[in-house]
Amino acid sequence: MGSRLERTERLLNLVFCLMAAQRPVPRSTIRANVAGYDPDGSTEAFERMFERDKEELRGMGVPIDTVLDVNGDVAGYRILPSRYRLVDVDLTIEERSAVALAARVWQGAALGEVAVQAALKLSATAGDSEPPISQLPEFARIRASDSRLLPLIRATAEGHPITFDYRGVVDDDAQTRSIDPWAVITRAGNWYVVGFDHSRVAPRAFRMSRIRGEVRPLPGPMTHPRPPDFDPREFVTVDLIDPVDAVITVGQGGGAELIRRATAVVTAGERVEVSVTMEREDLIGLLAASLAHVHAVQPQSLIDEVRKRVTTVIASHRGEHHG
Amino acid sequence: MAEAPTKRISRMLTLVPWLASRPGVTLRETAEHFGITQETLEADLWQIILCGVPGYGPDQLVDIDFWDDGEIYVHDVQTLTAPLRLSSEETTAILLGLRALAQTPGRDGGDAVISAAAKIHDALDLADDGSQIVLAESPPAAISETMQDAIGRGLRVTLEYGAADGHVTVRDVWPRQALTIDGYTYITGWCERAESVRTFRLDRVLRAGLSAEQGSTPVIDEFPWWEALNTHRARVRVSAARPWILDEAHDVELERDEGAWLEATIGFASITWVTAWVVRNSGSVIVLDPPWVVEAVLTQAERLLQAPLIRRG
Repeated sequence: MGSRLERTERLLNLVFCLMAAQRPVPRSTIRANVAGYDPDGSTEAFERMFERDKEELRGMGVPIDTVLDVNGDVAGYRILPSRYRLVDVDLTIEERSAVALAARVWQGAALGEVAVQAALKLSATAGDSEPPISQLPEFARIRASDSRLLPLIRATAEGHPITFDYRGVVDDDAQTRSIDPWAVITRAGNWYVVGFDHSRVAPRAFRMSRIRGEVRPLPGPMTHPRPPDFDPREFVTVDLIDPVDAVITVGQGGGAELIRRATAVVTAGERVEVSVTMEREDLIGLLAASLAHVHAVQPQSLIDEVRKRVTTVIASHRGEHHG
Repeated sequence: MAEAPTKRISRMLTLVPWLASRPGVTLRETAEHFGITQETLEADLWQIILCGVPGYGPDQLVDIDFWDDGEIYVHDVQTLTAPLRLSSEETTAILLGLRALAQTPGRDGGDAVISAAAKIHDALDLADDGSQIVLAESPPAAISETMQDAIGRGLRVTLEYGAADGHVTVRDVWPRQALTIDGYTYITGWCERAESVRTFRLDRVLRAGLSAEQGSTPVIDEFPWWEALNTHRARVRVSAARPWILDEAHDVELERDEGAWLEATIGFASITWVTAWVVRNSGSVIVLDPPWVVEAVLTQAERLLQAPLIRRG
């Protein structure tokens, strides 16, 4: 086994060799000529090493083509410079600064390093430099630090099906789901992937944090591509996991957050009647936060639920406090 | 810690064309742009100049000169005249970042944010119209524009603001900076009512009116807004069956995974938020530390039980 350092050298040499070659390079030539491979070692060892290197480079996005001969056998490998190179995006220095700012948005989050790499690529062939990313002011931040975001975005952007274990709203065991991903969306700080669920035979929204373990790619193209008129924003709004319709009576000057989400607001003297359709858990949290301004709630069961939960909270925290 | 070879190779493939188009750029400047130490950069360069096309004679290796006064000159890039094309994650990261910026009023860059996104979209011939990955909750355009104006011209605005507890107040505010976190846009500025710097969430602004008053904008130095949103920290225990509860919190650091329970520390700005969070997820989240937070949650919870609405039922 080569050391880490030799490995970097070998992979780079492989890129240079395949990109400079005028015609596909056969394995035997690679083995004999690319520095880093041992021409005197065993064939098996070379094959193993080359397969791994090739897949590793492809994983990085290096387009290594396998070229077949007339008999359908592998004639060799090549990297077409036209497929390798980033096209010239021709950004002005102001636009490159904007791109650098955009990379800063991800600082410390899931796409942090990816974004910095992208910004550097987009300014690579420009003669002058925008300021380094770390010295830019901060105007926006996306905090998603979940490692599942990357594979979800990749599958959605490239349009291939995926599978993952998913835990629903009931605390049951995780079930394996397979979907054709249509969109990734954030809502109130949560990330969702929306797509066609193969086992439910219908579009579904999945909350990223309820995905257990890894997101795995499935072979083949999507069987149900995204319909042209599909708007994921509407879908995630409409498709509440545990929706509840409620009418809440608040005093004037109160309940702003409820009013903001209201489907209807009726003012009657000093009181305001607010109708909402919300995720049950979110509404209970909102009621607990704004109870001081609330005069009545329909259905009454929501109040019972708040009382039950507050009682549980007190019990669990008393235990913690004295124990 | 050793770095993954793929990460290093990706960087090197960008480094060569980047350096080639900036003859004489210094080691220090380059390291800063790539977010690496000067030692790492030099190690990268030493590695790169050992590589090239088969034959590996002087004309077949990458030729970089970096011995004089820390200045770097690339004499032969071999095949690396341009960087590797963007991966789908890279494209998405930049376009999403630009979109988050576009919804932030008063940011630097102005139209460049919009035109950069358009150029990338055109040059890469992206089929997606940008709706595949969505950052939700743009603030209402009219309020955004008012804020943009106020920040740009140093004006005062009168805000009708509904706080997290639903209480509506009217405040005179000198907006100073806007920032967008996970799709929510916040405005930081001098609040005359509070007589200090305050942060407001733009989607909670019910009305914003520009005032003509000018010239006496209070001076606010670099406001540590991220810290302000995470003034306090608490250690919590969350049911491992409901890990998404932690998504709702800020600045989460996972400390321990004990099978049935996760232990983490979270950042927060207000006790009202912590109490609502704990009630919403009651039984699945418990505040462990510090004692004053536990105490405050208990006090607020007991007060909730005393509310007429709760007692009546």
